[in-house]
Amino acid sequence: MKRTPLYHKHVELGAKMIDFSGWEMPVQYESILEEHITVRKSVGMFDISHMGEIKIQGKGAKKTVLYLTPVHEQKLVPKRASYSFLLNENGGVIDDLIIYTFSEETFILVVNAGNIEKDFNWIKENALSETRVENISENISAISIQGPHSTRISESLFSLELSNMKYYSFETNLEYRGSKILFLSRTGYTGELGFEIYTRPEDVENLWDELLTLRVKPCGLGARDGLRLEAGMPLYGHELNEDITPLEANLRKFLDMERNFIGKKALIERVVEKRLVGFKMIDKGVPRKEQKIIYQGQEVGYVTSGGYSPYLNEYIGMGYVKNNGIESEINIDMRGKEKRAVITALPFYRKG
Amino acid sequence: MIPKDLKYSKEHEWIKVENGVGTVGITQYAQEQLGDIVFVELPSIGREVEKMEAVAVVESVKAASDIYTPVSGKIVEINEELNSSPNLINEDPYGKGWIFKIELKEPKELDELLSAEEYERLITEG
Repeated sequence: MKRTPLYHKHVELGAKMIDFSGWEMPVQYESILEEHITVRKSVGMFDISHMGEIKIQGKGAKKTVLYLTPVHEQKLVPKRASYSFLLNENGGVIDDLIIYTFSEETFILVVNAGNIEKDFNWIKENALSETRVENISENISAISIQGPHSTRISESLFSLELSNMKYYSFETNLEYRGSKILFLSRTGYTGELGFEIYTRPEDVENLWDELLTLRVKPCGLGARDGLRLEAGMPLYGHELNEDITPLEANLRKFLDMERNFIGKKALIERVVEKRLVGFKMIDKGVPRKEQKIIYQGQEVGYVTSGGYSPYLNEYIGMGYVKNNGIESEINIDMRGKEKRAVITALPFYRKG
Repeated sequence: MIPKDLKYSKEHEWIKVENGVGTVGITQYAQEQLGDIVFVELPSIGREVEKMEAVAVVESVKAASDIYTPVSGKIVEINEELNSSPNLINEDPYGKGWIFKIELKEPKELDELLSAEEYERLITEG
């Protein structure tokens, strides 16, 4: 299994390590719920060095990004990050990712750890002329600082005013005690105010240690999953996969349907058969991936994610149901017992 | 750390018997493995159950786990406090985190369970 440069730090802190898409990562340090609540109330940090980075450069880079993703062109301006996807010819999601625009000719795509090879191959195969594609995942590590106190913490690291930094913007050429910071973005996967700091692998340990002395709580993948679920954010392999389109996943606002890109034709032609919904349990119980969703006695869909929400003190979930006629009350089949739930607008929680 | 006066199952339940009624919960080791417990589905009172039948479900943030009764009998009491505070199992697995009480049908079944020493060996040697 692969390890990030912070692996030994996690073990030292007593983290419980798990296999996450081939990476040995911390799922929790002490308590998933405590870590979750810390991010909502003060500040926590996550090792996200396992994420992949693919650099697209050259005169054809912008055209390539526009051809490979459905991103709105006006969002491809320097120092701006955009959430987008790689789509296949059927409109299915190969991966969801963030595009960092450095210039007209330089882009970095931050992709899911489990999809790095697949994405890299797809991008190489489909890149237009005058474009260089490079997998730079091994050269970049990252820490995500999330929570209402994350601005104060990040400001104290860089002696920089960050409170006016816009959501999904980023800064480059920062330094921290002689260590080069590749980029710092106002992004995250928690629905909370937060920053992600991308560094060289040899610099990430210093940064982690400094954050520990600033009493930023280390948080694992367990808390990260609960936080993104409350924020109604999709997780690849759960809400998204190669058979699901962004339209089904309620992500239409990220699609520029005015221009051409791979998968566009299918998005127009394909019948939207299912849609992603959020739900809260009326009867108690924790919804889990793949449990059946029942409506008026008929199986109409399946759960993609579920859990206990400490913020709401309720059991919540997301899942796909048939696109028409399913409203308000549904049942979730939990180990043979049908439990009542109510369809709820997403997100369950969103601050930043 | 492992209470001497209890009997244990290989599935990490404990039972304490007084006057023919057994109190059942899960062990310290089991709650540590499960992590934060967020929901407990309790059995109904009066239900007749066979040894090793799944009678309750403990759900942690990560997964759902069946709780098996270590003996046969009738469920006579359940820990209602777990409905509002399932984390009692994390905080006090051998005390306030008990799950149900069962009236024993075959007290002899207790002999098939593990002693504290045997249980300790099970969790240390795997």
